[in-house]
Amino acid sequence: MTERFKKYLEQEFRAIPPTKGAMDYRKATLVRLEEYAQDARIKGMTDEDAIYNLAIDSLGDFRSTLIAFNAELTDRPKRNNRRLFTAIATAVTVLIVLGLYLVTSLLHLVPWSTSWLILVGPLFAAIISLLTLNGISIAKRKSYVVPRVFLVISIVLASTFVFLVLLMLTRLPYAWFTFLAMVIVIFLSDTLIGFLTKSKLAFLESQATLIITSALLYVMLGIAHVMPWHPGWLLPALAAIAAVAALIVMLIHRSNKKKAPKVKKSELKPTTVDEKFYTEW
Amino acid sequence: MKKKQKIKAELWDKMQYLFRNYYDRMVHAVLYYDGLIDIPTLKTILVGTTEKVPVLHSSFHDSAIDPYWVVEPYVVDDILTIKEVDKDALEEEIESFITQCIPVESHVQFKMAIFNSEGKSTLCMIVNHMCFDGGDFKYFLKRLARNYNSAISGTPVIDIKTGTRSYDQVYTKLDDEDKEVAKNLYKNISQVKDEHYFPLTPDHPSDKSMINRSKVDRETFDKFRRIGKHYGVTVNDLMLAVYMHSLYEFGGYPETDTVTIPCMVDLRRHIEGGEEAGGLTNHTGFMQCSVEGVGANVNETLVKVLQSVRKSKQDKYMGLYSLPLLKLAYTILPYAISEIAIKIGYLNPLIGMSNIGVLDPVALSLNGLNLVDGFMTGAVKYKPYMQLALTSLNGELTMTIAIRGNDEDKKAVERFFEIIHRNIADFIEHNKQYAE
Repeated sequence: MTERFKKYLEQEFRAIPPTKGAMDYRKATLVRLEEYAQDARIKGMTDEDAIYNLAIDSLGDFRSTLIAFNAELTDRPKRNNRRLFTAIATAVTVLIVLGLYLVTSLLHLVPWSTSWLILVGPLFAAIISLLTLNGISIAKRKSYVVPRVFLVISIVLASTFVFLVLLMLTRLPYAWFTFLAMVIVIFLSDTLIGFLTKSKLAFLESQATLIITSALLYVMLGIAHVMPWHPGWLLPALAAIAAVAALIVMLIHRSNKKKAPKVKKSELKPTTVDEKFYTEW
Repeated sequence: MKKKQKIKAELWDKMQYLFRNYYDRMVHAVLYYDGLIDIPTLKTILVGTTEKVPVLHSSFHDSAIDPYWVVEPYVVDDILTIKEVDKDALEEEIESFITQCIPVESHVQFKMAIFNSEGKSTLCMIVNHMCFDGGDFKYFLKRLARNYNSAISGTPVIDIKTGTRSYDQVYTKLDDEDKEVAKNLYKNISQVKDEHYFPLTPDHPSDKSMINRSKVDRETFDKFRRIGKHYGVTVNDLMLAVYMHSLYEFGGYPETDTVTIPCMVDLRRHIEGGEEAGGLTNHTGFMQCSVEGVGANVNETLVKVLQSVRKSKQDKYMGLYSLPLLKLAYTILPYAISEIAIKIGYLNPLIGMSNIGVLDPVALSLNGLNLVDGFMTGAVKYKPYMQLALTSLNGELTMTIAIRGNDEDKKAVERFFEIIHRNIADFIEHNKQYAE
C-alpha cells in the first residue's frame, strides 16, 4: 500500500517544481494517506483497493491543492482586511474617548483641570499597545534590541501617567518617587528579558540592576524616613559587594569551564531544482 | 565532627516533592524468582550501589529558599528486610511492604524486602520518586541483577550510573536550533481541564494504601498484540483505547463527552545515550490523549485515540513542554513562593496512564534464578486521582491501580478491571481474523 501511495505522489508532484518545500509536503502527504488507510482498516475495511481509493479520495482535488500550495510558496501573501478593521476600531475608540472627555468636562463631572487625563491615559495606552505588538513581532525574528527599547518607552509612558494621576488626584507627598521606581522597573524588566533571550550581557546587567535598585531604594526609604540614612547606606554598599563577588565567581567559573567543541549548525539543504525532490522518501 | 555533604535538589526532585499533595511519592516493584536469592551477596551489592548513589542515602530538607539533600549515615539493615513467610501469607506481606511510604527525612530513600517462601524468593522494592522514576527504576533493577551476577561469579563490580541528575539532559539529542526552540516551550500543558473522574468513595482518614493488580494472560495478550501489529499500532495505543473505552462505561460519562487523559512519556528518548546517560533521576513528561466521545466499539475508540496521539508522536518536542516554565519559576523565585506559584498553575490530572513497559527476564535474572512473575507501578494516588500502570513480563501484562481507599474502592477497581478484560476480549473477538 505504501508503495502505491508513493508512486501516486511521485507522479502527482511532477505538476509542481521540485523544491525542498514540495518534497516535505510530499512526505507529509504520504503520512496522511497511511494514517487514513490505518484508520480505515481499524474501522473494518478489508479490501485494500477500496482503502487505497478512499485514501486518495480523501485528498480531494489534489492537483488543485498542489498548484495552490506552489502558488503560496511563490506568491506574496494576500492582504487581508485587518488594516480596515484596525482603522475602524481606532476611530471608534477615539470618538468614545473624546465623547467621554467632553461629556464629563461639560457636565462638570470632572473639572477641566484634571479631565484631560481622560485623553492622556488612552493615548498612552494606545502607544504602549502599538509598541508591544510591534515589539513582539520583531522579537519573533530573534531580534531583541528594538523590543527592549520599546519596553523602556512603554514603562516611561506608564510611569508618567501613574505620576500624573497620583499628583493630580491624590496629591501624595512623594508622587515623584514614581520616576525613581520607574528606573527600577526598567532595569528589572530589561534584565529579565536579557535572561529569557539569553543575552550575553544579562549577567552583567543583573549586577548593575542590583546596585541601582538598592541605591534607589536607599534614597527613597531615606527620604521617606522609613529607613535611617545611617546605617541605611549599608544597603547599596552590601549590594555592590555582592555584585562584585558574583562577578568574581562568574569569572572564575568561566575560566574553569572547558570550551565545548562548537557544534556545526545544520547545513541548509539546497532549494534548487533537483530530481531527488521528486523521488526521495 | 565532619560536615555533612549536601546535594543540590534538582528540578524534578522539587516537582516530585510538590506531588506529595496528590500521591505518596513511592515507586514500587515486585519480582518473583524461582529460587532463593543469596542474601550476603545482595547486601554487598546494595551497600555498594547505595554508596555510589548518594541521593539514595540522603534526607531531603525543605528550605524556603532552595531545598537540598543531606547525605546521611546508614546501615544495610535500614534498607533490606529479609523474612521467611508461609505461601498463604506471601501476598499479604508483599502488599504490606510495598504500600509503606518512606518519609523525606529518612536516612535512606529506598527499601527492599526479600520474602522467602517454599524455596523461592520474592524481591520487593520501593523508592522515593524524588530520587528516580520508573525508567531509571528498571535500569536500577537491571544493574542490581548484573552486579549481583558478577559478584556471584567472583568478579564483584558495582556498575551504576553516577552522572548528573539535571533535567536539562533532555535537550542533548536536539541540534542547536531545535534546542533553542525546546528551551522556549513555556506552554503549560497541564492546563487541560477535564473534570471526568474515576468514581471512588469520598476521602476518609481510615483509607489505606492499596495496590490493585490484574493480569492479562499470555494467550490473550499475544492475540491482542498480533492485532495491534496488523493495524500498525503499539500496545500503548491499544491499551489507551481499551482504557478510554472502559472509562466511559465505568464512569458513566456521556458518550459524546471529550475525555482527556495524560499518558506518561519517558524523556530519555531525547537524551544522548538514553538510559545509560547521566545519573539516576526523573525524566518523565506526558502527552495528552483526547477523545471526542467514545466509539461504538474499541476499534472506533482506537481510531479516535490514534487521531489524538499521532499529533504528539509526530512532535519532535514531545514531553518537553512546560519544562522551561518550571525552570523559570524555580530560578527566579525562592522555593517556597515557586511551589505556591506552580501549585496554582499546575492541574494534576484526575485520571492517567503509565506504560512502564517490558521487564526483561534475562536482564533481571539472578545467577540462574528465573524471573517468573513481577510488576512495577507508580505512586499510590490520593482520591480523586488515579492512574493505570502497565508492565509486561514473560508475555503477560500486569495492570495496576495504586490508590488510597477502602474495601469498596477495591471492589470498584476490580469491577473496572473486569470491564477492561471484557473490552480486550471483545476487541480480540471483533478482530479475530488478525489474532492468529
